[in-house]
Amino acid sequence: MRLTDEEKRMLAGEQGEALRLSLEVLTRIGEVYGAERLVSVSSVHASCMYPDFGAAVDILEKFRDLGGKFQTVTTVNPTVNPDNVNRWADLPEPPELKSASTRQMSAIRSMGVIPNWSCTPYFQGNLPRVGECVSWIESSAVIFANSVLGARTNRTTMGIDVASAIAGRAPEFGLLLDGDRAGNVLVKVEFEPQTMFDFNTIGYIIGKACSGKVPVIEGLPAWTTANHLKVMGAAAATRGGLALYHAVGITPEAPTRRKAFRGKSPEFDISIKKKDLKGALDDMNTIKKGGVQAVLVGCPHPRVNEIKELTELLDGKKVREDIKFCLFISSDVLNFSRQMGYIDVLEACGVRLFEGDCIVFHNVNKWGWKNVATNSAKYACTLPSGPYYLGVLYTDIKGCVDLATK
Amino acid sequence: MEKIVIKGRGITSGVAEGEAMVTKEAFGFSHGLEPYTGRINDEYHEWLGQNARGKVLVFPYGKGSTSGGLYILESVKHGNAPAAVINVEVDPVIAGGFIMAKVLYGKEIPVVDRLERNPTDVIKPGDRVRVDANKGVVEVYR
Repeated sequence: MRLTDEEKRMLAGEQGEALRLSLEVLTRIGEVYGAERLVSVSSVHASCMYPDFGAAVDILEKFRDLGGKFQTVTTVNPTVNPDNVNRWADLPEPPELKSASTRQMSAIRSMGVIPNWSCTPYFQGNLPRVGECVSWIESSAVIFANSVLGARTNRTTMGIDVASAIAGRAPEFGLLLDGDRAGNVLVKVEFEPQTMFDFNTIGYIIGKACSGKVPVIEGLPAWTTANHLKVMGAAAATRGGLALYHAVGITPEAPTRRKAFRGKSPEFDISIKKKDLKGALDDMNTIKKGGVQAVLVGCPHPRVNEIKELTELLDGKKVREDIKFCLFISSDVLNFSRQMGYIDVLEACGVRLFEGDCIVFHNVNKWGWKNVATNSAKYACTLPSGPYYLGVLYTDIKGCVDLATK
Repeated sequence: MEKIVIKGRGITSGVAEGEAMVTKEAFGFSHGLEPYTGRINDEYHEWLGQNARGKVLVFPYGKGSTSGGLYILESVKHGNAPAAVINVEVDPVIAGGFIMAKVLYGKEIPVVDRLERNPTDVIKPGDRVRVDANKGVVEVYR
């Protein structure tokens, strides 16, 4: 790789051990992928990963102990929030999980993270423009940054995010370059999706059919919002490992079909009809027997309008004693929703708030859960596998509320 | 004893030797290798139930979640990592995990890819394999 004089000095350790180590990690990754240089990144979205993995604590403490400071705007994914563990004592966690999480939070805070604790950093002020190079982790955020914002990031893994944040740089390869951003599969949506749930399900279908590809999607309605694309992308990324799609007339690199393919032809094309939704629902409904112990809402973290809808559906009702209704939510949306009166209503109904948190970090099996209901295709794809092994009922938000209150 | 030498590309640094586990299926460390035992626990993989600790893992490509890097690190931390990895083409998650293993735990586990011949054809389960990631060379003994 060709390094600048400043980067050579960093790699020689002249600007401290944390920068030296960060440069070493980034250049080694760059060499593997044939990067010719490092490029500046204007933002990072980092992750604490799984706090019950000792290595996940070690990485953050290593960079912190070497004097690491984030040079770039850096936000962070949800984690086990000890306040939630304390509050919901009937869903107990081992003390080691709480202390590991506390150590991670402390280490990443002292390096200068913006403590948004959310998988939707683009709604919390981490908002790169079209063409901006960034270094993000979290598959649903990566696909949003690349597709909806037109920013450029590879799927970053553990430790590389922190090295990028400290060095303010990333190796230039893959989705940072024009070539890998061309669409290669055509997806025609042949009906008008109506709801967030439809977009969720369409995302699943695209992920399943286009694994590892860059789909170009035609037929999404003009009223499609960033929030619809948030859930669609999350499902596609989880089901198929996608990191980028283009939606013609909707996303910035796809003003036309031709531009989205960058002059190339699609390798294959698929069409999605209204009747295909049913098959996807059947795929994601994995309950073998028995009832549901919990309803999980908030994946990816919701916006205020989703909280409003949930409040209107739940108002005047009560969550059943035998069901835990868990809402995963970022601090900013929680704050605004509280000011708007929604949170008082939700808490009175018996909804459990998990601020800055996500179910994937929790020991759900120790809580005796066998089956859950969710409106999230991402959860529906994730939770049937280990270490969770949950059966899932995938249904829209009204279905979730009906089930929890009937 | 037969000796086969194959040249490729070193991804990490270090030299190690061990018994080969070989598959033509993609393999992901995330929800694939149980870091506290080294046991393969991917329900859908032909390696299910085997133990990867100290073995030379030969598989074509990585797969699955970006948390694979963390599974690699956790298995290194607990002494249950493979001795070496040989891929047709290494993916960012696997490369990143083993690069971080040296940074974090000072453990050099050789990872090599892009061999002149397909390693999943040439190397057989149970072969003794020496992997030199410094030079990008694999030696197979049988």
